[in-house]
Amino acid sequence: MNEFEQHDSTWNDRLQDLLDGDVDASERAAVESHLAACAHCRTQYAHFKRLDSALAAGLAVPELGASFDHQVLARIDAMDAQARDQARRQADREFQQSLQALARSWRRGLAFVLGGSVAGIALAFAFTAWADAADVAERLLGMTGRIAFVPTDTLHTLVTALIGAGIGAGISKWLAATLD
Amino acid sequence: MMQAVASDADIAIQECLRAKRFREAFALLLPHYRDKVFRLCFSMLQQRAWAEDVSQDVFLRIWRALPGFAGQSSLSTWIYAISRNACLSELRKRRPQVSIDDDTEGYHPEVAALAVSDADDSATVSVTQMLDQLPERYRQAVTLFYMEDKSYEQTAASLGMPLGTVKALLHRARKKLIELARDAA
Repeated sequence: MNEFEQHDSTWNDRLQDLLDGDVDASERAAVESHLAACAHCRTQYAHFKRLDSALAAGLAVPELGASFDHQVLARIDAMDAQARDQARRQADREFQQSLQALARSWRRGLAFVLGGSVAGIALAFAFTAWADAADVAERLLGMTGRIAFVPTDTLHTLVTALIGAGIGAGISKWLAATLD
Repeated sequence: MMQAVASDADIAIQECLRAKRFREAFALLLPHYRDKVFRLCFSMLQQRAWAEDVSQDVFLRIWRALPGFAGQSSLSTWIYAISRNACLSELRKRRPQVSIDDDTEGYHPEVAALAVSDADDSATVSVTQMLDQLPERYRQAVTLFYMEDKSYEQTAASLGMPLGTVKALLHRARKKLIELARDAA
């Protein structure tokens, strides 16, 4: 750095502070005193002032159009209307989904009831026919010595119901899977 | 980083936000920040129509983000950050290959006009063209400083820079312009 550059680096910032009014009273006095004695800085300061005037005049503050606010608010309203439509569509979709889920649940329940009933009736008929043909009643009566507290008719019905429920559950499961 | 001081308008806006009265908050925010946002956009984009379009987008972004503003930073810092990001995103879309630190040297008649005698009217020089010779950061700082009525504080707040950085950029920019003028003379 030569002598002039050293001088400039010391004084340029202070000259610009003076130009911008960014100095206190003592700094202003010091810079003005230097300016009075230094022709180089006076020239430099004149350049800064000329540049400052050119920039201040050339950089006119751009004005926003009067319709700016209106346009922004109109776009926000449009955006909000769109958001409301989206929310409404989403609510409709969710309502339809819940209706479908409810219908599925009813269908499944109905399938269980129907399946169980059909299986129970079929099994009751089948078991009665088989028991009559195979003299099962007499053999069961023989067992009542060990389980005397259970009447034969009740035992008959209980076994029928258990087997019927097992088959009915299998049929219901198959029906529910098919209906889904 | 410079700590932005909340204005009365900012305080009123934040009260509305706390009460979740977003429409009312936005109705206060728009007139208070429209010109500052526009000038910031203009200083970065350098084209009036473009700056106006991006300013509209900035306010739409603000409207969308307003319910999520949690006050981690001051309202003005938040708004200027959204504005700068919107401008940078626009610049990247249109000029992906341009580096913001590009520095151009050479003869520039507009700059040379500054070196002529005091009697000449330098204000007639196309300042916009003259500033185009500066690196991006210098140009932004100078443009905004003069558009913000030579306020270091507002320029620093808008650019999201410490006040000392803005001052240094401005000083270097002026020196650079005078050097260019000398070289061109």
